[in-house]
Amino acid sequence: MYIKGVGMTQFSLEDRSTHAMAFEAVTGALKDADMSINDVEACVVSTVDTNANDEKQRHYPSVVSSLFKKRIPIIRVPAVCGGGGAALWTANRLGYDNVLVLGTDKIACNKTGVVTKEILGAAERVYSQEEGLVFPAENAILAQQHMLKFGTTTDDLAEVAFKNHENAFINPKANFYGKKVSLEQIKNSPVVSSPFRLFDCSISVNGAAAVVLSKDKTDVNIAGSGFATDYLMTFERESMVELKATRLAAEQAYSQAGINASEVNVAEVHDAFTILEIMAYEDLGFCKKGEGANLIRKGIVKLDGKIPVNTSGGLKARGHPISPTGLAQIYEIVKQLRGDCGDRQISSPKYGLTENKGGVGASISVHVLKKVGG
Amino acid sequence: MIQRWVCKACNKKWIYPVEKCIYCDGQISKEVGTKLKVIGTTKVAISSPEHPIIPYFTMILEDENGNRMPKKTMREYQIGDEFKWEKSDDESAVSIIKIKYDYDFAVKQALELINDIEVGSESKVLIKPNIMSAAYAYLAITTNPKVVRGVVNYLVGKGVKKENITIAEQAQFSEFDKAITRSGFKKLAKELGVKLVDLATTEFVEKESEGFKFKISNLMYENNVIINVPVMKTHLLLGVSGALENMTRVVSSDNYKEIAKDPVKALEAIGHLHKVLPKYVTVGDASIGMQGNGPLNYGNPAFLDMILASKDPVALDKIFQEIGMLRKVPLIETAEKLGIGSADLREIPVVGDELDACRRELMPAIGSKLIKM
Repeated sequence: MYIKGVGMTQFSLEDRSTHAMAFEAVTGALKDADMSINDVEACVVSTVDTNANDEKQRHYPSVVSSLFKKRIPIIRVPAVCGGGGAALWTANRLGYDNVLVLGTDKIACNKTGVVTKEILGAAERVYSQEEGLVFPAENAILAQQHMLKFGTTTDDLAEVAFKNHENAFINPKANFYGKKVSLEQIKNSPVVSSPFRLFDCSISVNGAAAVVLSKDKTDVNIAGSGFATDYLMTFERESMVELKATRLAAEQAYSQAGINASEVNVAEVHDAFTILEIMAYEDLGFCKKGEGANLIRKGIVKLDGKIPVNTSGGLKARGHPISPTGLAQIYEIVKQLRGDCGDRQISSPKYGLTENKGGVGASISVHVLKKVGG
Repeated sequence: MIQRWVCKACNKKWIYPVEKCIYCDGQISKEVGTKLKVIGTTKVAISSPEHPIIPYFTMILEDENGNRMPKKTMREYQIGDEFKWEKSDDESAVSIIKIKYDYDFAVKQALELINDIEVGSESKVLIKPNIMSAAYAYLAITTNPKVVRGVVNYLVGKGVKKENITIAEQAQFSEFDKAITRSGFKKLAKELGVKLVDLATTEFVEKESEGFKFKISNLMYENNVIINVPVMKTHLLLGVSGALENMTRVVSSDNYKEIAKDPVKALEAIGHLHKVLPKYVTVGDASIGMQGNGPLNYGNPAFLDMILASKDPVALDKIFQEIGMLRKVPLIETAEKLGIGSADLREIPVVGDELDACRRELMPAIGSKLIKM
């Protein structure tokens, strides 16, 4: 399938309904595709089940039907933080000529503790939830294991956060757009779950993103689309320093695209926590296992580096509204491949990659997008 | 201890109980690791409703089989430290165990940590759950039969003969047969091959303590081991319904109604009842547990996933009050004043999971205009 259009809201803390945000993202994607809603034959929508906000809506396909006055097949594909990527992976296999993929969520909507508990619903109950292994804690332990085994440092984590804030500063769709964050601020932010400081964690925001897939040839092709699922609990897996599902999903995507990791020119990876970006470098094959920190130390993943990563600011600084995240990654890569990224545009990319995680490396999609004719 | 379900034929492991290996059809056996080491730890500074006290620590423990699990603690451990729970033989010790998918294992652990129950092949054991009304177990109005199954299996493991085990209760808010059917106890007793007795049909023995008169089922004196298995709940009139309250249904129905009609007097009556009851061990069922306007339909399931155990009913109720961060509970205070047990946290050794690591704010029973008592 080809990507015909992309649209998204700015990711922010603004109090907007999921309907309003969905409407904005979808109309943006249709306009970008030069299509009418009448051309859409099916829709795959991803949202989280939440009772934390003022909507309490779990039958979102019918909301989409009401919103766009469509009685077409609309199916919901939730995969918590990996929902957007999972929806795209599904839509890519449906066989329709034109499919709309939508992610919309309102997660910045309640007290931090309530939202933390709500998000923790994505973790196993009697071990993880009951033992206080909230997501920052589970990822902090992965960071600690990575540090112990490979010598990754808190400075490396801070550099990842800083890079992504620098990118978000020049991305109008990012929550931190125009908001400068210094390396000193990052390093001095409060510890939330050792070794993580506040700025090692992505920010929960509200937002929506949409993608129109089509069999019509366009300027961006989905060259590879991989998906893998891993055990829910990281401590149950063989290794706590590798997210195996990322590796498996990437292998599928590279194989379909007929490329290897070294041919990727730009990537959006799931940096819900800074360590996840470093582990993604390794699990996606941008470097060997254990050498991820070198990529940030040497500037390889910066805007002017060999493989710029998270040019949008990533989940860290563009923001992480849960389900829309995977589609916002697609939005950024499509814009990069088209050369539409303004100040954060990288030089002539041919292949772009997205990696979207649900849970702590539990439901992972990897997509390789190719610039057609490039 | 870390438990896994393992296929011995192909060595696949599960964190959940499974009946047989889906790969090779092999038999599943339990693998229990006892030598635990800290391999990872993080100090968490963000609170959430189930973890309101910060900072706390969550560690990753690994056993001699390479199996891992997280454990919350308020104590700072270092990587490489050994982790183990100590037993206590103090009469007021209370154990707290978080259930990890296996009720039998949790009940066994909880009882071992309070130095076990002394039983053997000649023991006659009475188990007293809460089956006060006809309610499904998931509502936590009645004791979860899975916990009683754990108690029976513990006893059988200690050599007690099934024919010497009796589950007994009086249903004060419905017919006994309806109550035991809906709560799952009828099926459980049949499956386990143990007796299930309506205490209302037994003989009652008259006892007195400082002017409080009781008619107590003779089963309480004919068995040499009593195990009280209350469901832990918040209670509109008593504050907490647990070990102490659950024993009110060993008296005759008339006697029960007399006690219940005056809530203030009931506090003292329950205390005095315990002066004439034989000593018992309590296994507190907080697997689901109740919060809000208990003890009946106006309360809500609390999903606590815990088992408590103690030889001191006052201490056990007190620890439940503390876990739920509930305000003053007059029943516990009165029972302590009458010398039934200890409600002084300085004198209650808590073993197993740490009290502070288990605290969470339960909705107290405060009543509403909806409730007509």
